[in-house]
Amino acid sequence: MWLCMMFLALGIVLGVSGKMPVKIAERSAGFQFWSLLLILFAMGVSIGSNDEIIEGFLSIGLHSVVFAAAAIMGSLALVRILRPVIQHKGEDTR
Amino acid sequence: MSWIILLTVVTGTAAGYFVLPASLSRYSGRFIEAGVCFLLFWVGVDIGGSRESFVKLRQYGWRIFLIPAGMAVGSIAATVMAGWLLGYSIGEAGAVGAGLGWYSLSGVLLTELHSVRLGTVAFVTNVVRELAAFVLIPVVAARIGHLEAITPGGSTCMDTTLPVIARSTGPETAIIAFLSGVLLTSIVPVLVTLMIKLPF
Repeated sequence: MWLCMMFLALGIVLGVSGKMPVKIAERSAGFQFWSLLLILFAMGVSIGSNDEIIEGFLSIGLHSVVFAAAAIMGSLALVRILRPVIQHKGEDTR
Repeated sequence: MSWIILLTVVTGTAAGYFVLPASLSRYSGRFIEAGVCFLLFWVGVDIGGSRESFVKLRQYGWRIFLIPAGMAVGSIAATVMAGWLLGYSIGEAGAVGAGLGWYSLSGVLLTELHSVRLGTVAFVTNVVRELAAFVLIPVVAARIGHLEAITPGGSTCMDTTLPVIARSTGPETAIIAFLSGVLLTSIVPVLVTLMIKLPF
């Protein structure tokens, strides 16, 4: 994933420098949307064709779903509780 | 957005299971990495082009660390409670939650430090967490808040789920998500090991 981090850094540098042609930058959202769908499809393929995941899911799927739901809800709830400390009025991220 | 994401992943999974040859999964890993690189480049361009985001980020100061801290503590505490219901010890359940979406590492670590079964539970739990995050992030961003939208993905908010966070929120939250993901990724190995070594 270090390679991906380098691409992110390269994008930030180009974005900050303002050297990205406006016509291309305007299409950024479109590029992101379609490539995201392609990646998600490929992720699905790698899960569907991975016996370890499928067999694991069939044997301990219920426990994993309960744990995953709990982990997500726990993270979300605590950040929600901490939000008034993290974000003061006027710092307007929704 | 969530429905499109869910439909795409389900279609891909069905294609991988029923239609496409297993040998393809070797290439899908490479394809995913190349795709994530391409996506993150564009997320970077958006972040870099939004200078006011960096200014706003400074206003947060040390408080920004409360987001990854809250994600880690909330995840572990909730999985410990879920584990109590399912018959796991505090250490076992906490270690599964401490994986924070990093399925490959938490699965391997817990297989080595504990058992194949707990390693598999951690692996599948964190795969499910990452997949659920793709679907939940747009919903949480729209209905609860942008900061909270960072949380479902855990440590994956620095790479795979970052494009969804950036799309559902904006450059400012994307930077916070990236920083949170980097911090969480660096502490997952420590947290998983610490939790599984608990004597209770």
